[in-house]
Amino acid sequence: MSSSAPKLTDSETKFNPPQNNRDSETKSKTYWSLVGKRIITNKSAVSGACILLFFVSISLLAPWIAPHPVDVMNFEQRFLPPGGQHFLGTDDFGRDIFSRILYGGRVSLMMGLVAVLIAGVIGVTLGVISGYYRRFDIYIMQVMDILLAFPSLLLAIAIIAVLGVGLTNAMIAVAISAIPSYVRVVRGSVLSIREKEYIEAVKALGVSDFKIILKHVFPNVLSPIIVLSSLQFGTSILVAAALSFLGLGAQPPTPEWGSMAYVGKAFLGQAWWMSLFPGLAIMLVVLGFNLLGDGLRDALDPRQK
Amino acid sequence: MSKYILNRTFSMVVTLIGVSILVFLMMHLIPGDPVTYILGDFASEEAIAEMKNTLGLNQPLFIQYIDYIKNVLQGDLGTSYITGLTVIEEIKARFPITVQLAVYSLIIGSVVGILLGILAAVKQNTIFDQLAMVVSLIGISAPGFWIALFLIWIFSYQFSIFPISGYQGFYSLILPSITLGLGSAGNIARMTRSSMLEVIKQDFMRTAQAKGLAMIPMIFKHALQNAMIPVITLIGLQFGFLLAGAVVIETVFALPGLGSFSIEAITKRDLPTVQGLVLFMAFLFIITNMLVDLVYSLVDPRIKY
Amino acid sequence: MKTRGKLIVMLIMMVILAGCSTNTNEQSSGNGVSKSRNTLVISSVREPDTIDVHKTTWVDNSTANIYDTLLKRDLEGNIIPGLAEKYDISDDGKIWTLYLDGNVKFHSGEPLTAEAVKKTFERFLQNSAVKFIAGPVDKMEADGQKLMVYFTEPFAPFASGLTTAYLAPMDPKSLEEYGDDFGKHPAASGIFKFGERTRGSSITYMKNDDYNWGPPFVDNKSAPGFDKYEFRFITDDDTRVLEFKKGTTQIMTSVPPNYIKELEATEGVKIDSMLEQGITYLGFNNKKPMFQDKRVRQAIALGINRDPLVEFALEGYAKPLFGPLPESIPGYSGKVEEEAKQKYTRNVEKAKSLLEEAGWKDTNGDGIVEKDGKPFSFELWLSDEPVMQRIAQILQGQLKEIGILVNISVQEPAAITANTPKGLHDAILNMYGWSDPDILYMLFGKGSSLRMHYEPEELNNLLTKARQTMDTGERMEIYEQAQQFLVEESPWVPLFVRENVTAYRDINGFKQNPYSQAIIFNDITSK
Repeated sequence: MSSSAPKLTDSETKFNPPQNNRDSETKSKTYWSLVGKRIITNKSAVSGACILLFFVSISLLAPWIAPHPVDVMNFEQRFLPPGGQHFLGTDDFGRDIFSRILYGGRVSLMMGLVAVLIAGVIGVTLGVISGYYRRFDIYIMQVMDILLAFPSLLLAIAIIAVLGVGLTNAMIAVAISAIPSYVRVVRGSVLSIREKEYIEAVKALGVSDFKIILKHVFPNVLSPIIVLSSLQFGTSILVAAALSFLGLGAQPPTPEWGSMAYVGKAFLGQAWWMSLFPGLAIMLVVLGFNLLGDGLRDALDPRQK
Repeated sequence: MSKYILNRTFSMVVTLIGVSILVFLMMHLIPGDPVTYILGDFASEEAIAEMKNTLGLNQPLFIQYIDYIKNVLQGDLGTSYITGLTVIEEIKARFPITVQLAVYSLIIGSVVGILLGILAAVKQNTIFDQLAMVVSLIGISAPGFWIALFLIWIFSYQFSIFPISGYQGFYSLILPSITLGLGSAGNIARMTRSSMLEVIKQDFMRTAQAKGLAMIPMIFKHALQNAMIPVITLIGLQFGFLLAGAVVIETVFALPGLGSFSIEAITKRDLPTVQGLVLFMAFLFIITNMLVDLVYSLVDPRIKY
Repeated sequence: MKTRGKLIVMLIMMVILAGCSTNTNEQSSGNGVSKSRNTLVISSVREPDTIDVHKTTWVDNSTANIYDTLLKRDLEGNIIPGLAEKYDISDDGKIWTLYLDGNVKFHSGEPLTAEAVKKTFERFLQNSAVKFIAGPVDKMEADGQKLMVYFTEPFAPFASGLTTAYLAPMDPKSLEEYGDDFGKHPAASGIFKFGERTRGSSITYMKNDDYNWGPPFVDNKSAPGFDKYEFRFITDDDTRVLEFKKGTTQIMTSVPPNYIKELEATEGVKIDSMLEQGITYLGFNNKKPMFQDKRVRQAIALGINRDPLVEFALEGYAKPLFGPLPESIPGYSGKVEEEAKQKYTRNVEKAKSLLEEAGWKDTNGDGIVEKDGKPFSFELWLSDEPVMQRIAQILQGQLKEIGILVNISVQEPAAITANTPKGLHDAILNMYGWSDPDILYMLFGKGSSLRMHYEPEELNNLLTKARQTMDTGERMEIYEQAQQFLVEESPWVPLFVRENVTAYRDINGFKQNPYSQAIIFNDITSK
């Protein structure tokens, strides 16, 4: 029961990381190899990884495997249904949807990656500070509470309104709304470690705070960060797609999945493939990240079976 | 307990002040001031100056904020620049739609989610379990707008059963509720499953089993009752989330709720409306969270504040 | 069990929240109720902010018909008498005398007098954000049915201004009684009388039984054929179409292009379209170094083919346009349009050679022209309207063929309004709309070129002279010269004029006046 303090999403579930890291290198090595084994045998993690591997590789290989040019308009071939030359049909400019989805993967995955990186760096730093130096804790958490209380998508929309419409700004907006999750998770883990005797001992030896954080605290919060990042990657892609779907993300003619669905919405009645296929791609990628995240949590959290 | 409530209330007030400052600053950083938007391109200098004066926009930012807060404390959220109605009246007109949407989607989400969760827990590690979990993962992973477009395509375009979009009473809320409900169902199903599994593993269930009680009635009598606590809490949290989070879905279905209105207000630089709406939504979010926590602590005797 | 009680509390909380929603629900769902035969229902996209025309910059069918104007435009675009039976202009063009119709009554029953018109004008000049419509008014004198307006400088567009509702006389009784709240109780001398308004949903008017001063271009000079006129505001395209198909609305304005074919095929539905009074254009920020060279601007104009824009971005519901003014605005010149068409019909070779003359040449073989090692690329700003985004993408493809890279930058409308006057943009895809050729002054006059930043002395002189020339023929000739200047210099590229499509059913006598962009309600009767 203790672990299931209910929260909105999985990404906010509490983590109890392995606290085996006294300072011996070997122990840590065996821990990670054990984890590796658990991951490989975890069905959820493996299937998630497979889905992601598939999407990452087709996105990377897009220039070679895309059957049609991504931006060239061909007005004779507007609104062709799926099948024949165009596997997933064509859009209002006669461009091949399949090719655009391949290229769009680069944009969508990149958006998720950048957002997670930004949010991760800022969130982890704040989380460590908040958990380790208790005097900042109340202020940082208050700011996080404010960010959380601000309706999340509206926060992103308002940030874009301030910064201007565009891909980069959408990434920043997504990142900012993802920061609180990191802070919460990392802070929680750091708090539980900080109270350990060995930290007290190292402290008594006069080791600097920076070193303690780097050598003793950080390695112990690594697993929850990995799990959270996997889940947050999916969430960020969803939020970014939602922004693009509202016309606030990628600029035309960039083939981003969310904006493809946005354009397709106007033609839903006559060309459903324009919006439904890009949406399907988003769903599959996010599913991949969620499966991977679930699997990683099972593997990294030894309490769970 | 009462000290806890006092603390929470205090932190709520601080958070709300933070939210109000944040939204206030953001709305003043946004390029494009409301005056040029209200008056249009060819407005004369004097007209602009005068309008700024009437709206109090030529005051220093700090004074503007203090004035705003003073009014808020007297129950006055200001008047919309666009419609000329008070923000309170605007909220009164739109809130019912948002609430209905939240309630209907939670009903759908809870029924589907709890049933799926029970099925998965009872048939743990069978194909039913896996299927139920994949379905709920899809519910979590699919972008809301994609589910929406899919439902519109099937039920509005193919079969013309439901209106495509717009609000004409209960009928118009069915598809949006299903869309949002499916997302919640995923979370609820996962929570139900894990919570049920934990309860089933507990001793009294074993005892009950040992006493030879039949499985099915037992599930409903003992397991469900105990497992439902975290699930209900989750539902409560989802409710707070839905009240502020249906921005995209309200936009796709063109429902005149709070979410779609807040986007419109941001685009049109309707400062009082944006500020009022965000404050109101943040208030709802915090208060539901607080109530949920309170109820949770009442329900679970192990939690003490 | 203890838990159960708490669960019930939780549920009750939710039910209460749900319950309070159903109460208020009834107000907002007033649509869809069947109306009596004597109500004409018109659906429209945009809800006007107020019916008080002195406090808005938006007037359309849903607000204009409560007002009657002092002058009118007939169906050929000529200015004809309205509430003013005639008007004189002094020789120096600075004094206008309006002679008001003595038979006209306001909705309150008060007679139309010069004093009332003067009061309205004064209120307009004090409140309106678009008071430039009235021009540089110095003072006014009222004498019975005669109103004299003194200007500090001659201002020809005043006549056009008098044909708009902005300058229509308001009912003095209502003004006196409600003052600033006139918008909530509007009254004037129009064909409609104000009934009621439901915010967020509709405005209802009653027919004005006293009305008997219909203009010459209508058959029925007296009160119109329906008892009530209800304007419903439905933002969502699909819903608006659905309501119309169900027959709950008889007139639907702004039919979305993708529905037109379907509606044309629907039994009993008729479609009427008219050209908008305004155009969509590609405007350069002429302050930017890259657009200083006329040849570059001409090359871009030569690189554009308007046909695919109209066909694929607007589904054919627009008309390609090469000159500055569309047919629907007085001052349009067939000659200018033909010249512009000759000059700028797409010619990739010529465009490329013009660019080369200007020093832009593709030296590294990437298909993009360079000058001093810098590739030619510019940022094109546009609003988030889907149609604009489609146009931009087609333009992007076309200009790439002449070696110019266009980066599309979608901006919020408010950001465009705020940032283009500062000159932060390279180029903009935009629309203008107005009923008088004086729009060119607003676009290119000294100090008012907020989008193109193009105000050469020669053009400014022409446009200033035109607004001070009282003789219509002479004035239009000056506009022709100004337009020729614009065509040659190419500080912008006019693209097309959109068609405003209206659908109607179950009524007879539907007509629109393209020069006021208004539905003529006088002759509409139920079938």
